[in-house]
Amino acid sequence: MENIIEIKNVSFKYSSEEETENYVLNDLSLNIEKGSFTAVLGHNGSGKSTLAKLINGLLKPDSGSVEVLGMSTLDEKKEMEIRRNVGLVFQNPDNQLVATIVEEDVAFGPENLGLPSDEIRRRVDDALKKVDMYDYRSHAPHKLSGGQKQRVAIAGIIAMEPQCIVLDEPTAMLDPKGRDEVMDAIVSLNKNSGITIVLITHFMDEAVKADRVVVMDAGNIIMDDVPRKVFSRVSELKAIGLDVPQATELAYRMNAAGYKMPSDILTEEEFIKEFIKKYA
Amino acid sequence: MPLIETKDLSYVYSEGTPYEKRALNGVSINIEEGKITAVIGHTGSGKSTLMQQLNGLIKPTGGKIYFDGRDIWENPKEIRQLRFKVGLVFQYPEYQLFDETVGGDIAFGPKNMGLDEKEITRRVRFASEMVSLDENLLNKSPFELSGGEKRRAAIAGVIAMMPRVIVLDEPTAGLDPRGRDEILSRLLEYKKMTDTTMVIVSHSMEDVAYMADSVLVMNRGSLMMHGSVSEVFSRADELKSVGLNVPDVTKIFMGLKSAGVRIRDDIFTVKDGADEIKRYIEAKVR
Repeated sequence: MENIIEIKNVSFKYSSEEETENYVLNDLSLNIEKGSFTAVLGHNGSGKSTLAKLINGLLKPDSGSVEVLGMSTLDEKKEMEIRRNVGLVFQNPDNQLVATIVEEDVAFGPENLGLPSDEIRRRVDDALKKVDMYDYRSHAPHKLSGGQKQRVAIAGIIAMEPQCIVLDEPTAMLDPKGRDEVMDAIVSLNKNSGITIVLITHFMDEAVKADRVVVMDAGNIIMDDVPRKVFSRVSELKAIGLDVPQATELAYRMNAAGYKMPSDILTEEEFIKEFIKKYA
Repeated sequence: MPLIETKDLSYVYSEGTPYEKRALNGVSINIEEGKITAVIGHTGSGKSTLMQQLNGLIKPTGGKIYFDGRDIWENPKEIRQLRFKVGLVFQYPEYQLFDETVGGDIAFGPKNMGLDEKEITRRVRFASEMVSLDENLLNKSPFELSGGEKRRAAIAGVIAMMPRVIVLDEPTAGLDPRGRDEILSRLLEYKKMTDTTMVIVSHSMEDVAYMADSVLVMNRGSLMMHGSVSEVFSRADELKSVGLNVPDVTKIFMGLKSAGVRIRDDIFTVKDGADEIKRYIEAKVR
């Protein structure tokens, strides 16, 4: 499979810490395959958000290289093309919406690309449909719920027709329903539109939906595998301040108490099925 | 007697203008002294508006609020005193740190209360210990703290006033699992030590199950349910219909029970779940 992002031996520190050796990222390497869905986990300060900004060129590596579709983020001439192909979605939707009407907000990016108006129209409609917000196209963004706002922010990114979207804790400020709506939109963009997804999150039940989970600690990658394998390492995850889904933890506690359960259970449904098979 | 009581409380934003919006609609609640009350509800359900009423930050457009049996708006001049008794920790409170030093920030409340220098120092130390904030951070700028530390510093600022009630609006939003556990366990410890009444707004059903004695459910500006954790979480379908849910572990036990397994389904934490499974399997073996 072709890589859309190649990160090679990247080290990075913020310039205010010049005198120290306080690297946020330390000789980190990571490839992201085209069309894949990768979740990135790690406690606050582990370097996750820095990684997101390095991927779309908002930050430049101090050493090593970041390549998007074969273009280095250090190449200033490629800056616009990289940003167009890697969209970034942040935590707070209120900071990402600029216009007074939903469809104008989504049109903001394509307009800046200087596209013809019928193409802008097509892209805006298409993007809003993909996040299930088309019916709200003439609403005012500030009157929407958090989950709706965040989906409009995502539509604004999709309208640029990027190949990859990096989302930095997009559901942190949302209520349970808003979280579900945004996660459904993200999964659908990956499965139905083939957009490569990198999802940074603190919610383990969201990471379960990815094809691959990358765990960061102290500026480097310490685990990289399918969710089932990563989450079966309960004690290691807890040791670095992370968590596992509640179904996984319950199976883990059963095993610790001497009651056999598969250690790679991820969801409530799997738990119920296995439990009934063994103990009902 | 409840420590805080609201009777038919209403609030309308921008009343009489084209932007008029009814945020609270006849809400009557009781907050019991020495208990932890959780408030859940979708975004825009009126939770935050209700919280801001509890310490007189905004004045109701209808209904009454009683603190310790007294109508808080009876004498508006006393509202300032109420704010020392009902401490409010806003959402993302770390954005509101403003002093040059962390210690100065925590001291702000006690200073406003007119306490003497010695008492202020004592309280700053007590509050920072309560939230496990290292003493050598007190002389640093808030900007030098990590996200989790800043959040705890902001909470310490309210604890330092030693209010009778602490109201926290989503105290763990945006924190990683360890940061979340730290804050919740420190709050429980503080509660155990001081018996302070707490009201906690949360989007995390797991946090609610872990912390709360009782739960208020808000929907579209009205009170939808008020009961113990098990009373409220036993009504899973109604919660789902208003965009809420039950903890994931509860879904497991509800699923097992509806599949015919003779197991309790009023399980809200993983620890209780593990205990119930042990009981179930041992009973079966016997």
